[in-house]
Amino acid sequence: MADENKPRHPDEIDRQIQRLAGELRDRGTAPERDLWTGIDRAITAAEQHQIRPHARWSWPRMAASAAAVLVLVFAGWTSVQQQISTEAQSPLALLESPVAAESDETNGLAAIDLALEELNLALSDDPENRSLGNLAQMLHQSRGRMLRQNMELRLMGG
Amino acid sequence: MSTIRNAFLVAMMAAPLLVASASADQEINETVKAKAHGLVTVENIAGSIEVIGWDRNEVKVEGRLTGDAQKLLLDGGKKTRIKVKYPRRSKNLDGGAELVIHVPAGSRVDVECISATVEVRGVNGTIDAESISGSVAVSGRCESVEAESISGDVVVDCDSDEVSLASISGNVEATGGTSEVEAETVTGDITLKFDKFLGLNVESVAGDAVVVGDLDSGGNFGFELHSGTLRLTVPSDVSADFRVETFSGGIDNGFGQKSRKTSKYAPGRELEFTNGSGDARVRIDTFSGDVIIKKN
Repeated sequence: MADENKPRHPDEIDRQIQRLAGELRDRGTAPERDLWTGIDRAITAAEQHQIRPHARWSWPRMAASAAAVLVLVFAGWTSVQQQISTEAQSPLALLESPVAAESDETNGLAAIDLALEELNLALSDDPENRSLGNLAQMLHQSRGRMLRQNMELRLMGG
Repeated sequence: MSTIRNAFLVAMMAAPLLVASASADQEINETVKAKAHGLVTVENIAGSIEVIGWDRNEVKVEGRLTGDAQKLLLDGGKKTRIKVKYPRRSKNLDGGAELVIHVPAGSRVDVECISATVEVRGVNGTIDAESISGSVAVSGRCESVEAESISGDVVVDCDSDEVSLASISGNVEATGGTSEVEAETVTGDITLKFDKFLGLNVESVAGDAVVVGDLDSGGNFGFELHSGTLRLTVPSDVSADFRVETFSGGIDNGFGQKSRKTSKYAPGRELEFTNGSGDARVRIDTFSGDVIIKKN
């Protein structure tokens, strides 16, 4: 036990490593075939794939690409035209449309939801607070009323 | 030659469109018999509706239809029904109906619109007027008023027993004599100036409220505002019991009694006091809104 723990001289370690390496070399088996040929072929193929010039454009392929570009440009232009047309409506017309009212409803609902969020946070700290309970009830009633009005608006607006 | 022929063809094709456009406007002038205290209902999407009470037992509809407003339906009898027909797809309409409707003064009136403005005056029965984005205005002496809009303003100047007002983003303003009043908004402001409130219920999420008037003995007066400020002005000799509580808003009491913090750690304040014999019951709750009580 004492010998195993005794520090060895570095030269002795080197010698031991060389001896073990030699044994491994002598014991190892050589590959049955020359592996380098396959490796070399694979590397060459990979290089050719990387530096291969672009395939030459055939006329049908170019025509198809041009058609695709035209379709995309037309679709984009139509979309832009529609947007311009919508934006070109007078503000009065937009205000007078039910869409504007729906937007007001959406903003109203957002205001109620924000208020409810604040209230719920406060109620979580003080669940017995009667005043907060009244306000929460009021907000829920407002929300229900707005949703009902929204439904009526949709029914009337067709 | 071919150019002339093409121009002629184009003109021929456009002609029906021009005729259709010119014929879209339609003048209205129709009258039907009606009961002195009957119900008159009006439905219209766009334009303007003016309902005026008169001393004849008939309903008269005048005005014009423009753009997409197609036809006026008018049915008389015990119940008078006035409806403007539009295409089924009614969004982004062009034009509308501009109608002036005379009804027996004692009628009960029910008006429903989308973007049309509504004005009712001189009608003594019950009035129910609603618009989605148009403003609603009611004036005169009537049994009760219910006026609502989503984004339009609601303005009422009535001597009526009961007044109920609501809007989402529009402002609500009402003046009158002695009434039981309810007013609700989400983001719109509320202004109520009455001689005396028999009872009162004011609710708003983000709008401010200004309320001026005497409080009837024995009445209940409730105010619930989330973030809006309440300014309440009552006579100095009002007989009322006040209880005010805010979660984080301030309280300014013109009667002199000081508010106190609801707890050592919370920002809220509360105030309880009685003026006179405390007959009216006033309850005010706000979340972050301030409360200002004044006496005059």
